[in-house]
This record gives sequence, structure tokens and C-alpha cells, in this order.
Amino acid sequence: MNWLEQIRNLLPHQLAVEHQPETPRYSRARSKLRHIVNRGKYLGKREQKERTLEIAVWTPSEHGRGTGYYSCFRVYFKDDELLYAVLFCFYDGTEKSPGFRSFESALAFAKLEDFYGDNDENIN
Amino acid sequence: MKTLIKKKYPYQAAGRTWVIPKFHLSELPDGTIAILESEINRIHYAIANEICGNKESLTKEELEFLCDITQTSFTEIADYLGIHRSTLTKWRTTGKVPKNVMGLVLKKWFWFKLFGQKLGQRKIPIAQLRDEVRFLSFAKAEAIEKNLAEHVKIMKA
Repeated sequence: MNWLEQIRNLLPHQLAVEHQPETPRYSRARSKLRHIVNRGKYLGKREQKERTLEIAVWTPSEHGRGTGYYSCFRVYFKDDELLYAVLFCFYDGTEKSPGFRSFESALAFAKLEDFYGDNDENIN
Repeated sequence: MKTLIKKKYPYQAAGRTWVIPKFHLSELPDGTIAILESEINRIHYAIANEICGNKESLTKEELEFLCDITQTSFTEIADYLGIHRSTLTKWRTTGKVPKNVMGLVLKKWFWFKLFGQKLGQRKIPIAQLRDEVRFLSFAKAEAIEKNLAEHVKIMKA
């Protein structure tokens, strides 16, 4: 199951950002949401409750250089059909959050956070 | 999904805090409170309309915000303005787009990317075309009047 590809196909009323305390970092997460989803590279997943799981994604900066964006999405599904996806974590190197310039460094961090990818899913 | 409405909500975007008259939050099946992308788009269009229609210089946060919501790269901006990419890097470093014709041209370009197609056939009184500032102020009001964007204000300290 390629969850990231499925998230890309969600409609605007199925994709969301978790309501965080208002900070400049999460305001950026909201305005970069489509970029994160469309250009993101799948890092791995971790199981959650029966009908949810979490996936980690790294997205290169839209300007081609500098720190990319590390995000985590919680996906809600039923019978393998994706119902909603919510971005609940966003790191871009600001506000003391970690910053990752490469997919490999983000992948190493994701593994420490218990995200593991199947080989056939690392295709984005 | 349950919807929660917050009135006069302070919302951060483009380096400022904006007052959103009616802000909609959604409660997901597990109780998570989230902002749907459709709501984010609604608010961001309103903020973009306000940024493009005001008389202030563009800040680097506003420029980045307009790029984000229109999916525009800095390379596209440089090509459109006929300037080198390093000039844009300089704007980002100094934090401001120079208050000259380039800033106004950019505001107009972004405004048309967001609302141009929907208002493309609208007739414009010739007096509103006398200068770019006047036109952008008119365009902002039109987008609000045609319900393409809501009126939002910058929160005062």
C-alpha cells in the first residue's frame, strides 16, 4: 500500500493539519501542505490503533537548497481505503526543531522514531 | 465530522497574525482537532488578497507565503521579472522586496494567479487603471465583493 500516493489524491476536505498552538513553524506547515504532499518522499510507517497508522515524509525545499521539511501524517482508513490524513508534526530546522538537508539524514531520524518502510513503498 | 467555529480567531500566516472573523476547526473520529485543507485555502486566499491589495512593501515572509499558495518557485519569479535569482536571494536576506515597481508587479501577478480566471471577464472602470496601487486596491475589493475572498485584518498589538 503506497500511503503517500493515496494522500496526494485526497480532496481538500480529507487532508488536514492538526490544530497546534499558533507558531510561525506551523503556519509554514499549513501554507506548504500541498508542496509537502506532492513533492514528499516516503520515509516509513508505524502502526497505531486499528484504523490508523502514521507515516513519515521528507520533502526537499522548494528552492532546491537548504533544509527540507520532515513531516508526519496520521492516516485514518477503513477496509484499506484512506478516509483522512492529518499532518501532526513538522520540522524545518526552525524553533529548535531538527532540520534535514537530505533524504538519508531524515531517514536515519525516522528510524529512531520507529518509522520503518517496506522496500516496495520507498518509491516516491 | 464535527465542526467547531471560533470567532475573531488569531491566525498566523506570512509572518503576521491575522484576525479571522469565523474560523472552522474539525474534530476527527479519534477526537483530534484539525484544520482542513479546504479551510486553510479559504483563509489563505483571504490573506493573499489582503497582502496584494494593500499599499505596504512585500516582506520576505509574504513573498514566500504567496509562492507557497500559488506553487510558484523563485526561478519562475526571476524569469517573470527578468532578474537574476541572486537578486531574490538578496531580497530574502534583507527581508524586503524593494518598494518599487517590482513589488507592485509581483502583487499584481500573484493576485491574477489566484483570482484572475474567476474575475477575468469583469469590466474595470478606467480610473482604476491609472496606477498599480489604485488597481490593486480595486482588485482586492472586487475579490471580496464577488465572495472569492473574505475580508481579514492584521491583528493590532
